[in-house]
Amino acid sequence: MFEIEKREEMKINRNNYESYFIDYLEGKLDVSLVDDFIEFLTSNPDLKEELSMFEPVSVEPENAVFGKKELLFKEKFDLESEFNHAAVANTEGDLSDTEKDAFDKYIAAHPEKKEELALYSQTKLVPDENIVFSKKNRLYKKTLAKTITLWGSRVAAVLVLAISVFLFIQRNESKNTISQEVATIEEKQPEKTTSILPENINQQQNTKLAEVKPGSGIKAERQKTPAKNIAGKPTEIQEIQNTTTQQEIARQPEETFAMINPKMASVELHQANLELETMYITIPENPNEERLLVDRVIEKTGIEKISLNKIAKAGLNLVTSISNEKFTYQTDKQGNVTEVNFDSRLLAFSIPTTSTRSNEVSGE
Amino acid sequence: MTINEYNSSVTLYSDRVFRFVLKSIKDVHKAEDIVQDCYEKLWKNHENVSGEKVKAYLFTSAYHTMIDRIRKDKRSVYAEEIRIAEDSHEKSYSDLREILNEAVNKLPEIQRMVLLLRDYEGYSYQEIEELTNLNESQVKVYIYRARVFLKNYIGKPEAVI
Repeated sequence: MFEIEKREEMKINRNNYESYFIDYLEGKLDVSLVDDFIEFLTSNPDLKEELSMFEPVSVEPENAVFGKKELLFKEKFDLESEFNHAAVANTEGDLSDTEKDAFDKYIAAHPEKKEELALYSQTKLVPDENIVFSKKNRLYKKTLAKTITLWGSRVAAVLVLAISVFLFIQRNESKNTISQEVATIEEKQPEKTTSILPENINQQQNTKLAEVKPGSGIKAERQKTPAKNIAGKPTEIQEIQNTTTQQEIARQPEETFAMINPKMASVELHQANLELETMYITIPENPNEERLLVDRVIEKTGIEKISLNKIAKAGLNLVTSISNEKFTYQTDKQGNVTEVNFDSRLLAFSIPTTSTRSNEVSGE
Repeated sequence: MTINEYNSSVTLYSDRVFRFVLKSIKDVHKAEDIVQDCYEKLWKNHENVSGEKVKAYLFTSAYHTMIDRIRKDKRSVYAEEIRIAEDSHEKSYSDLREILNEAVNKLPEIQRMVLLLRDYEGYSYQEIEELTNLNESQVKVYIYRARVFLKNYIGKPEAVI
């Protein structure tokens, strides 16, 4: 409307005729302007000729086809939100079979999306098994039976400790007393040798042969020394020579064995003529049922479950509870104590036990 | 629920509850306290809790205890300062697992907790709904948002603020 009004104001002339020409050629020239347009052409024959040159010019549309339409088509999963939904659902396993097929086809057709999908699968969180709750002992509730066995183990631990300390002290004391005892024995020995009669010696040796101990050889040697001392005195030399038994005293072990051997050779065997009786052995049908009473007792009482390790742990647990869990210990998968820790506000330390050290060394 | 069932629940679930709580609130001492609180509650109610529902009871209790603590902590300026201090240690990791760990720490608490219940314990949407008192669609939305955030973070951590 505005244009028409403008054109009405501004009549066709040599400066603006192109727009009239185009409108005329496209058949859009307003009816009211047609008379002016014809009048203008008749008055300007050169421009009429120019208009006639435009008339045959027309562009024929070609049958060209854009062959990459598929690149331009958009699928559902091209929308970021749809892809993310499907990818998350795929990660969570929430896609139905048909949705899964469609999504898999989409991923197959769009390899660049595989990486993105892989990132989604990596967002699955995996718990760290190394993180453990170290204060389980505070949570356990103990039954009466367990309390008894616990305190039993604790008492055992204390007893083991007390006995070991007692034995250690006792051992140190005994070292001192042994040296004194040795001195007293040396003083008494000469009396013994002089009081033993030769006749009695043979009898005693025959009867007590089975009781001969390794120490007896030492006694025999010890008995030689007083004999030598006696020989050193001139008044007693004759007595010693007359009684050869005194020499036998000094040679006790050798002579007694020489006397016994012939006796042993003279033993007669009468049992060789007896008829052998047939012996029957009864084999139980189910060997598993044949169990020793000891095994049953062990099983019923649960003594077999008690070990040094358990007693040690009971002792450590006692210390832990007494110290209000400032003192703690770590165990490995086999239940062996691997580390002992102490943690208070003033002081904290951790001591690995020897077994772990050796493991670490062997591991290295 | 018997003493033996209670004690076996300590053996079976205390580590798992501890991991869930520790990963959610990132404070060992608080996590230990929460686990102990949960078991105390369980022991107080052990006559009313059946052996089958112990695990769900513990995780429900842990989740709600954490939500309460987080709300209390958010009122405290001190807690905010700690959070900022923790966040300032970022960008020092190169391993994917550590980057993922960093990304998880940046998730909003509820998203993180829901995702942990889903991934660590394999709970279904419905089970998480029951544990957290959220509705199922909320649970799905939280998981969806968390996964997209994590994927974007591990894809290009420098781009995510």
